[in-house]
Amino acid sequence: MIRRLANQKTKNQSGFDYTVGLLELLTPFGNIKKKEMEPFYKGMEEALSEELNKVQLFKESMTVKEEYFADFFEIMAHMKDCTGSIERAEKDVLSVVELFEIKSLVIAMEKLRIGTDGFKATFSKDFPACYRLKPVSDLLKILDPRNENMETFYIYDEFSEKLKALREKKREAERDLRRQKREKAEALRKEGIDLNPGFELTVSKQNSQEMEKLSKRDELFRKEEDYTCVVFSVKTDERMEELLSNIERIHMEIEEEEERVRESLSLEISLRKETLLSNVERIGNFDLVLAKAGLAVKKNLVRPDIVNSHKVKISKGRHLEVEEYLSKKGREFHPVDLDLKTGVTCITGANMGGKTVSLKLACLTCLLTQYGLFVPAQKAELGLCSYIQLLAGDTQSPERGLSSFGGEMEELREALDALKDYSFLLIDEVASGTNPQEGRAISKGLISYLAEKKVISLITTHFDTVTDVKGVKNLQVTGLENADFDELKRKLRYANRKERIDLVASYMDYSLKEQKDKKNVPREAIKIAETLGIYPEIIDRAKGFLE
Amino acid sequence: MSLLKEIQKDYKAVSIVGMAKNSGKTTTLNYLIEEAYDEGLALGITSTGRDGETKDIVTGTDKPKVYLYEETLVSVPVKLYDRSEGGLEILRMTEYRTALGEILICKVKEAGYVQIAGPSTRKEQGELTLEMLKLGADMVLIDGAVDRKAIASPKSSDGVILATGAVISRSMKKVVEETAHVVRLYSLPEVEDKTVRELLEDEGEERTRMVEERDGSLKVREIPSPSGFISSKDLDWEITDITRYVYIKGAFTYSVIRDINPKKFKSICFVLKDPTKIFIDSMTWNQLIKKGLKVKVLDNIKVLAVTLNPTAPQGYSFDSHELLSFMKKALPDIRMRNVRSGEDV
Repeated sequence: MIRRLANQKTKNQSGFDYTVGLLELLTPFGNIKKKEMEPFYKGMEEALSEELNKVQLFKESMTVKEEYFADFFEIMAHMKDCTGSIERAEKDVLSVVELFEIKSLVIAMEKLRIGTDGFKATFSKDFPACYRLKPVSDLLKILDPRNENMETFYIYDEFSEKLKALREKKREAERDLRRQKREKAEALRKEGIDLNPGFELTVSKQNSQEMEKLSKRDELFRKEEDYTCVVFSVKTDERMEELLSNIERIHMEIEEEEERVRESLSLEISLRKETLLSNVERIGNFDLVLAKAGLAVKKNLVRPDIVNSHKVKISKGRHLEVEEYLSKKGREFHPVDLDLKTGVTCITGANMGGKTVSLKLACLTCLLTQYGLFVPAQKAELGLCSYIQLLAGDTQSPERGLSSFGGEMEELREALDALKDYSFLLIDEVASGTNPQEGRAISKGLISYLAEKKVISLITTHFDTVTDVKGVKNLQVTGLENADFDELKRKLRYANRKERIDLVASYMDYSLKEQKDKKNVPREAIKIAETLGIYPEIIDRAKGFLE
Repeated sequence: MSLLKEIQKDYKAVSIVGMAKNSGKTTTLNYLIEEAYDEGLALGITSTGRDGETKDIVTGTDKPKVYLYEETLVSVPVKLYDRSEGGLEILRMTEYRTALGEILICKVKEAGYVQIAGPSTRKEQGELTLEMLKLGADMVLIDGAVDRKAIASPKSSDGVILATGAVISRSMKKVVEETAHVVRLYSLPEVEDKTVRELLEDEGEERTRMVEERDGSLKVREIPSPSGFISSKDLDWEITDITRYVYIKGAFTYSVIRDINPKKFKSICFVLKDPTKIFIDSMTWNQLIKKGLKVKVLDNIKVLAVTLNPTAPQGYSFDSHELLSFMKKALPDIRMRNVRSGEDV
């Protein structure tokens, strides 16, 4: 079985895919590396720390001196993937366009190599050896016989003395031919026959006088003809005929020689295939680490601390996708603190209180860490997990719509099957799709089962009493507890439907606090329903039933 | 002096535009290339579509190959590079993608036949032209771009060479009339009033609008079109005695103005983005002008020369002297060449 850290749905719903999508890769090689990113598993703490250190190194140097990297970005942004041609050079003769592309890449590699040499001088730190490119200056010398160091390419005369001589011979013959044609045209012009620069003349057949005159000329022949007009052109005499066949012969010889040059260049490239491909690999990795560092600078991400124990501790964590969504609405993300250890933690509290967001945030932070990325938080302390799964309602899936409870149970069983020691399981609104009595019972059963496992479980639920299970930690969303309800009600009166929901949300306090006294659970659903204008007749009766 | 040398003094980017398929666009291009070679002008050559093919795909008639001399800059897509007979040094691989691969900017190192193709969008075409001038071309010839936006050069204004010929009609009179009509349309005056230009030039989305004079100042007003279509009757109804300019988006056809009371023509001026938006034949146009129709454009097109091809691919041809002198009478101020013979007036 293939080992995997999380399934696709978990990566998608947690916002991991979104965050990885924010990585700005410059080269096709970096993009491949991004697609191939593999997570670090439990037991690989050291390797992960090393990777995170590299990200940290570039994050810091980028902040200190951004312009140092501008040249690299410029060089890398123009790189094209010609690894196919490099591979092909072993058995095929490369085309001129392919040679051009390889030469461009070789020039870029040299520029990047020389550029990174200055890293230590600038930041007084070593440039990580794993990104250091191997020199390819000898290949560049071969591909650039004029030593111009320009990204232009042609089978230059300098590649072959023979080619040079052949081309000169051909040019001379062509000049000769043109001279002879021009002499003829000149002679004709003196007799009143004007040819165009292509040594041709078109005459209408109705102009019988002109037709007759031209037809008699030995120097001209009918090149093209339709039933109304004739194109006369300069006839080639024996001498010109010889020149023409000579030109044709030289042309073929030139083509043969050019092919020979391409063949020898292809060979030179294939001899350096290993070096070139290893450089490509390194450029891809360098591109990826720069993208990680760049994202960390841009989105204010920090290096997570990796610990050997099984824990998830996040201070002032953020969820980038939700944060982006809120900022478009002009609202701020309320950072969340979480401190989870082996065992079950339940998040309870108000609707609209951001329980699901806290859940996704925890999942996202762990995934990002294990993929060697920095995390959106002020500080994070994490132990590596062997498996992570998020079970959250999927509003997109039509199956869930048809039987939400059935679908949820199906998924839950799959998650339990996949569960092993040091897993992290996150469940949103457990057993919410069925009647409350049974839902509560199932939740309680599940929670007490999970509490016995070497697993961190984070579960959001509406069923307050399920947290009674021994050893279960209960986090409560602060919600509207401290909100000024009178002020909120006043504001709501002047708001339209869309604004009302946003307004209530803006009074929400998303922070989590541990609920020790399990009796005193605030019931905010009624409060919210009331605030949003559900009739007093209903609210009053609901309160009555509750008591 | 050669046609090109004359033009090159003032224009660095010249499009060669055909009145119709087979009006001799490629013949014109070849003619100009020969001229440039004789004059020692460094040319850049590009095309809005694929050019230099031996057969014209639409009509199946012969299309001359483009023979280029050393040092000419040319745009060639990757897949056509190996098919060119001339020797091409690759200077740069552009980001412009076509069905035939990325466009390469090449310099001809060994003279020979080359298949030309350029980028497909106008913006890219303009950038490519500038790039070629930067790379050392004295001027750039663009095969087949009608819209002047296709060519943008900061140093010089740009223009077109109009290729026309027997292909337009079996009647020489008609050929001359239609050609003169197009040249006149292309040369329509531009809106000079700064306020009016500003009022009409902004707005990303093209809309039919009018400029009205209210309380002594000019205001722009969009003509409401709930269905997205404005009929000639709607337009007539909207035009009142405060209307000064009517900006028509899209095609300017007879049906657009058919129902407008000609009495209103006197006090208003129609404005179009550029002359290529007009689709009204010369006879109707002349009648409308007589009735007082006034049309201006935001950007007109400088016709630098007209080239004539006296032979039609259908097989008939005109006496080239006769055609040339008729044309000269109709367009006395325009440079003219018979591209088949090189003859001028």
